Amino acid sequence: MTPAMIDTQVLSYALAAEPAKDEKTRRLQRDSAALVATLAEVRVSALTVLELLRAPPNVVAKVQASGILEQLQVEGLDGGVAREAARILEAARGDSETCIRCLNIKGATPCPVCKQLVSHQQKTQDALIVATAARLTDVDVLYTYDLGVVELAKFVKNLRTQSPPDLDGPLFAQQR
Amino acid sequence: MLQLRVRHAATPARVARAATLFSDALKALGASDEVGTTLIVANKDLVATLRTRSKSGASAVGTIIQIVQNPITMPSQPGRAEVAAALARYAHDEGRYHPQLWLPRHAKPLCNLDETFASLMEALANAPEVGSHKARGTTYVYSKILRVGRIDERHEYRVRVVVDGRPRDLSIGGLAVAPFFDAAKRDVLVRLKLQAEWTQSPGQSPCLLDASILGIEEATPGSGARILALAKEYNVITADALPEVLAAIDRQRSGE
Repeated sequence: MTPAMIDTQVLSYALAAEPAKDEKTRRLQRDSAALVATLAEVRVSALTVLELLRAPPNVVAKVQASGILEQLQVEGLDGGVAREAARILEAARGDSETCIRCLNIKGATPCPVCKQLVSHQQKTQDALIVATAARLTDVDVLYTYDLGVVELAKFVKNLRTQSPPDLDGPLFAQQR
Repeated sequence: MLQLRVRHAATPARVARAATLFSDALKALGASDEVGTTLIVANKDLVATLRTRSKSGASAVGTIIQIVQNPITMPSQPGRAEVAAALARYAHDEGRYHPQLWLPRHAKPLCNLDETFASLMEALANAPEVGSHKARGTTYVYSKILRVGRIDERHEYRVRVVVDGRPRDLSIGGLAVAPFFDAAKRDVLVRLKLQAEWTQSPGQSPCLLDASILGIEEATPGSGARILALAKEYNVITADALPEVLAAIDRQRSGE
């Protein structure tokens, strides 16, 4: 089985067949699609299915009509995942660089638009996705663009989080 | 990786005792006899290096290191007592040869397996397990059916599948056996619904204790290329819709 799982944003970028208007999004689409194209099975958390089905109604209708959901390998949430997620959140709370109340990194900057930091709920969903991947002994990598997921993955062993490979390579990526 | 160094020749008996130490410890942590976990033995002075290439093997070795490094402060977890007992036995038997545990490429040993260490591990082995909790529930796993069979007519059928990276023989209860034989014959991936029991200690990942199969269905996940082809065919997410989809994900995650 494919030793990798992908997060919702990566799947969304990959499913967007039309190129976006801005350059950065186009690159993320290209990299995500290139990654997904190489996977023998596309493994996602059950939460990703939920997030996909909470997209705008016209997108949801097309997702369902296309039969893509039946093609995904959905890794479920169970008692083991819930407990592991709780452990991860608790470990994050005990980390000296993390605020014990909001679980954000100390000194994090609020969003310039809404002035808010990431909420508890986001951390819970992030933790459930990390825990799902961590509980699968045959999954080594979780591909994500979500920094919250990356932060929480530091509290599990034997799971790497990384962005889909940049097809321009690191040399060109640094120049941008 | 974890290394045992003894300043004596690697006689067959001494190698066997070293192997028993690692074997017992790994067995207690549910990672025995894994293809990805091997013991490399160097001659002259005995150096036995435990190498792991699997997640569960690496996790088990990590736990052994934790037990050795922090025997008192380490939170209780399944298998700790058995690992401590194995270490105590080895230190009692071989302590006179001054064995040491090392982490490769470190300048100092992790610990000396002497009488003091043996006494500490003995105490740890006899300490009651506290703080661990069990939970029951259902879960789904994907696996191929490796084997189906029963000992004789009086016993029920059991099915060998891979759960948590390890092969396990699970009961199928009252389910019909034919779909399992069929799946084994065709070597296909199936989705199994399990009744499972986990145990977890504070600070540790949950560990699957027991499971039985409640249902089987064929899983036919598509390849990434197939999914991309469907996405293109149905134009699932247009260029205009992509920002809305990403914003919806953000909204859900931030609880709005």
